[in-house]
Amino acid sequence: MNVFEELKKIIQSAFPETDLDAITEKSSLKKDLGLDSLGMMMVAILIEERFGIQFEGELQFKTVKDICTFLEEKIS
Amino acid sequence: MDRLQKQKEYFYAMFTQEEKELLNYIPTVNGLLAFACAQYAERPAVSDGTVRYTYRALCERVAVRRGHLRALGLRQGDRVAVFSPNTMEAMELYLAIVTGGYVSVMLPAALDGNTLSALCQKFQVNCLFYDEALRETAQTAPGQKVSTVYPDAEPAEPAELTKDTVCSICLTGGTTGVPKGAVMTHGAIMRGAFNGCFTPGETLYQRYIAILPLSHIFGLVRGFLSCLYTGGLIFQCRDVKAAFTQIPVYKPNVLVIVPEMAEILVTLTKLKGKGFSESLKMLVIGAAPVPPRLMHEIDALGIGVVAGYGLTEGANLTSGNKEVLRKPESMGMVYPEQQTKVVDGELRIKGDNLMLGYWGDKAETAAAFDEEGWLKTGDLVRFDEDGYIYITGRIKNIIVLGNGENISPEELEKYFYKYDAVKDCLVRQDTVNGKQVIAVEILPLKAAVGEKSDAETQALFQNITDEVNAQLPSYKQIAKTIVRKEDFKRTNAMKVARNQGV
Repeated sequence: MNVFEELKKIIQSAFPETDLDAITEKSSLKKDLGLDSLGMMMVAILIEERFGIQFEGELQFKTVKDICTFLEEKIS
Repeated sequence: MDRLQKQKEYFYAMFTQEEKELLNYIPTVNGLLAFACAQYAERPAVSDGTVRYTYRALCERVAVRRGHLRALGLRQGDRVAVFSPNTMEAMELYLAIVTGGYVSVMLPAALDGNTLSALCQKFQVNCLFYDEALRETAQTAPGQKVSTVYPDAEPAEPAELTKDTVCSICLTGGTTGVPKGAVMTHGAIMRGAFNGCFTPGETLYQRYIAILPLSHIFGLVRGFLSCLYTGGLIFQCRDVKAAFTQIPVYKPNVLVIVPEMAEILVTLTKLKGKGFSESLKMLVIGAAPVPPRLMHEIDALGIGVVAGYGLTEGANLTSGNKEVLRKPESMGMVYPEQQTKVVDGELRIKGDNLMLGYWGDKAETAAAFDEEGWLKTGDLVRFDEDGYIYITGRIKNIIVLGNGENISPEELEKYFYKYDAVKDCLVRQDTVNGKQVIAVEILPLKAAVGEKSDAETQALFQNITDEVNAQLPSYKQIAKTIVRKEDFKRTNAMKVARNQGV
């Protein structure tokens, strides 16, 4: 499974106006995707459902890569 | 029909005859609790999802907590802070504090230790209650600290108090890092809570989830007290993410939320199907402007929407709109008992819902009122021919984000002015990926930039923004850094003009 591609699909389903081609692993969640804490919460809810995991506590991710790394560890 | 009569009829038309007879303005929270306990005795009042307490049981638990407060040696008028997510314990404590004659200071669970300590000192907090999950952060606060866990204590009667007794210090955004505290009487808080009872559709016995923090006036007054006023059941909310995923489990009928949360709800319902939010009858949206598009999307899901306008300093509700689809850009009609006047386009208000002033801040308090005691809202308004009010602009320099947070551009600009490389700067709203964010525009000092390329200059100022952001809570952080090559448009006094015509 390509976690990065799955994550892009999730971001698009949460925020349909997202320019998917512009998202890279280096993309900053805040600066490039404009996600504040509620936006991040929306993405987290969809990730939890898609990957069958639970995020605990405050979400500390800064980049797309941070989320990918976390997910790869969780599902391996 | 005169305007005041029209306003009254607009709101009272939302009540059935039974509700008109049942629901009247009660001037103290003590009175509210006594009324609710008698009227709704065996109905469920609060729940953590597992345990449920009736109104009778809630009142008994609040009485025990009052006894605990007395046993701690607290005296009438003492400030008692609660540092907790929206648990049942926090709700019980709020009721115990204010009905015991103490003054509540509800604090956001997201506070860091330094800000917690600063707020406790600013408001001269005599005792801080903390949720066990926040125990470590709570230790940074000075003075007496107690867990919110249910105590072993003898019940105590409510205090003797009147509508003019100070009830709560409610946090509101300021131009410095530490929020101001609006001092609210029982009468003012209860006016806000009573106004919140006017909701289209079913009023009584609705199910709520306490999503918005009790430290925010909207969450406290409309999200909690109006629920008790109308015999509702409120589920605690430790975690907003969990609350959203549990909507199909808790089956709320009413959600009191900010616009950005409503967007999330609409998206989740579209992705998961109508069954996700089928229990929902009404969204009460406030604290920030609601896009008309969003109102229509909610309506398309078969859910009612009501919006309103108000300030912390006015106990949350000055106007309410039950006709959002017909007049989506209006803040509605002004509530009964809320006096209004317009001076140079600015809305000023008077009534029993106003704060007494800001705690410990004479200068800000004086600046908030005019010579005749009218509160200056800082909002420019107009009324249409039906008496509906519209916000046309803002005198006060505040950015209101879709998540309800108020950001002071001047407060953030001060951080940038500490850097020699920044000749001038302007913090404003912008969009990234269709979402509202905060941006900074910087006019560099030529000497600092020298012969640097555009990319090097951008990197230099991005570094500065990163350093500023490291000092700020996440909701105030700047997402976009724009380096200007040309000067800003300036005012006659040569200051950077807030409106750059962008």
